[in-house]
Amino acid sequence: MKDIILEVKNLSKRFTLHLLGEKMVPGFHKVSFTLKRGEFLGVTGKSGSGKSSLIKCIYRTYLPTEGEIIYYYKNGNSVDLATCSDKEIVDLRRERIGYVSQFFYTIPRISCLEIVSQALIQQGIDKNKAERKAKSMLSRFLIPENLFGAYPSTFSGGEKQRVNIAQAITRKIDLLLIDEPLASLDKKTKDIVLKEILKLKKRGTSVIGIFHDEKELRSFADRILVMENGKGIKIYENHN
Amino acid sequence: MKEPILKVEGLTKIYDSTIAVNSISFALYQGEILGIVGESGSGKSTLLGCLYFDITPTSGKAYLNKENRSIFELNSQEKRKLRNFNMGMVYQTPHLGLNFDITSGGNVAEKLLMANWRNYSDIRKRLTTLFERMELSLDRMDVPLSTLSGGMQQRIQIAKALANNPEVLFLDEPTSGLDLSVQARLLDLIKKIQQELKISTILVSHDLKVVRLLAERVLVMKEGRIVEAGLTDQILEDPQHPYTQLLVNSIL
Repeated sequence: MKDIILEVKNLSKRFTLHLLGEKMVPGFHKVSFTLKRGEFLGVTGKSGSGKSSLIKCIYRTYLPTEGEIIYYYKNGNSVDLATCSDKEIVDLRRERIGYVSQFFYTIPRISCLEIVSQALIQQGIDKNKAERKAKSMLSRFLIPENLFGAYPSTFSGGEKQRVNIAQAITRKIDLLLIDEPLASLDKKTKDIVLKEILKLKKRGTSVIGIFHDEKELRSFADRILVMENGKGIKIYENHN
Repeated sequence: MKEPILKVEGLTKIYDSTIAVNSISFALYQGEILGIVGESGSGKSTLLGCLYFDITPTSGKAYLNKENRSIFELNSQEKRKLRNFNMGMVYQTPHLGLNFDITSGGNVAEKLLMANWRNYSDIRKRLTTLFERMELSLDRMDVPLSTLSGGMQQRIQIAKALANNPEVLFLDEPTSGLDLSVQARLLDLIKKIQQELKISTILVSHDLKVVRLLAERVLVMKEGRIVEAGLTDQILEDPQHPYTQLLVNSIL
């Protein structure tokens, strides 16, 4: 199991809405796949097909209804992300698993430089070094230096998205979950962001990324999972 | 997160015919902020009051720092010591936590005196550090507390709570009743201080948005019980209990 980081087995998610007379809303049903270390798995499909729900379950923002998500640590130990304690998830999120949501949740009165450097400081990197790394990533993402001290709530959609991604990928992690990272970016910044994500992958981080454009995915993903109506209808190796 | 710093087991408080806190158990881990949400009357503040010895619980145990004796079994002198040296509390309103007959600096100094600080210049130095930390102008130190704004008084409460470098910090609705901009500033300050000092903190709030900003884990209380416990984003995006679903759907 040394080369595998994640094993998703028969994972399902249904929502029960107690306020609407116990109405059941399906998320996705019996999805299975494995993810290798350093592999880029692209997930694609129409909106509403269950893509975001799937990665939210892996990050445990959603509680899976059934199935397993076995996460393998580098030392061979494993843990089921579907059922392990909240404390274990908190530790994994701080140290090993990153998630970039579709929407950026800005924190009042925290500058974009702080947002990116705090993620590093939390991993135990000292403040000066964290700020240096954060500045360098923000510059590569074409965030103007005079905005480093500004609060992202006033940024444009594309700038917010780049800060959001920068915060997740500047630190060293083993698994990156990323939901439509290129939406709302222009061609130039798209290429830059993608390059940085692929750099992370080259250094050994496994990536599960949602992209609605399957053709786009074929230019960089190792494997592609296609979802439709809450089911993984096919998964294929991508040989570019 | 390493070990739990505080373990609460079966904590119960009964007033005559009402059960304010009903057999609550949870762990607070070293360096984390644990949120507790629920509407008024759900028992949140009573729970904190018990842990800070303001209220005597009816039954239950709480262990601080792997001690094998529950903090409720300590004698009053030991309890006072724990409260003065190891704990900090910020109450919902400044009137509950501060003395309005003395200066703002005097309020903070009081906590230091109780923690056996005796040297005048050491106390002044500590006050200066705390005032700067709380972004309070130093010329406010020797003025009557009543001349400060509500937001400043709340920052004095936080300075007082932090004065003795506590291991555990209790925050009871620390920002309710403040203007939005003052609230944001205070939350940001709490977050920065907590990250820097790694103080294990319990944050009680009826406002899920406040909890979202600060806490990684949250307990949801209703009628004295914990109805749901989870990661903050999970509680907000995929609440399981009917009451939590109602709460989340009531966010403006």
